[in-house]
Amino acid sequence: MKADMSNNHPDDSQLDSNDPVWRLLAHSPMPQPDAWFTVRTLARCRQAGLGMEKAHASFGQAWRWVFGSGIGLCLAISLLVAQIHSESAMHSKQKKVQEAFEIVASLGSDSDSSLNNTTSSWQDTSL
Amino acid sequence: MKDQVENNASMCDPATESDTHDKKLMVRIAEGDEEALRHLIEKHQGVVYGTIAKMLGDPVEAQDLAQQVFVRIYRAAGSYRATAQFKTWMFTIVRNLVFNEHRRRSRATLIPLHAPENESVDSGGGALNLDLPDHLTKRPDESVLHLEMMRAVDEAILLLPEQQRLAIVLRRYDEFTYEEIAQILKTSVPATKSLLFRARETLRVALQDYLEAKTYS
Repeated sequence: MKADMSNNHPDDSQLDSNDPVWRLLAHSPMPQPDAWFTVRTLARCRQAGLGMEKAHASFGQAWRWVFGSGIGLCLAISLLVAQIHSESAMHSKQKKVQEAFEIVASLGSDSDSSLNNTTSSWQDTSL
Repeated sequence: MKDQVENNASMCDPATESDTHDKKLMVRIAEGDEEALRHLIEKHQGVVYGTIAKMLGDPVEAQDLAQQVFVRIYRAAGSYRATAQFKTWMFTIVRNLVFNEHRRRSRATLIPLHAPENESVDSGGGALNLDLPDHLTKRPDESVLHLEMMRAVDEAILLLPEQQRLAIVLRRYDEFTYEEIAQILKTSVPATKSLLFRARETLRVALQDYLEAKTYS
């Protein structure tokens, strides 16, 4: 690799080239990857990409599940609340009807007693 | 990012041109262009693999880590911002992975499958998996001496502390500037120079026999 040497001070480069240690290091070259390195790395990247897509997909799927179950739960709760509400409304209605019936019944008993009185008045007891 | 890349393209310095090319490749990779990824890998695989191999002294592990570097680049392509030089950014990933590997190794007790004493350098073990020497132009005794020297150099590099080792490898083999090395090592330029000085002094002592014998010249 040819690097940018423009930022280096000239004396630094000179120091490097004059240093025997530096020259000795040159005798141990940089190892190179084998011929299949690119192919294997591409395959690994592709696999990593697929993994990322799968993660995205599973996240989307999970989000859909959460959304669906949330709606279902809300629906169930609202149905339950509606049922409880209707039951209590029916119960109060029944109570009102019962109270009305009781009032009517009490009124009825009063009129019956007066009717009995009147009946007894017109009945000829002498007969 | 595209505008920034195009602005940089106006400069005609070869290093800047190469950097602009890398950034353009990154834009294409972010768009899902696999061919751009192939170009990027082919362009940088030598320096990435070589640096990691010099740092670890293990060609198999180096191959795995070098692949991880490109996987990370691929994954980060979408969020990559061309603020710094691509090469510096890439070698920051190399640095992180190599230092993590060192930490992992220092925690784990690794038992080699083969004894390093019985290995030859060119058999893929020992210090590094290096290219075979040219037997046609060198006498056998010269080749043996050369191999021995290569092995000694690699072992001396491996004995350096990790920061000094990376600084030496980046400076000597990858020809990075002091500023770039400082960025990669997340340190200052004077600290980088100090690291390099100490590394050279350690190597000078370790390789004294070869320096005195002048077998390298």
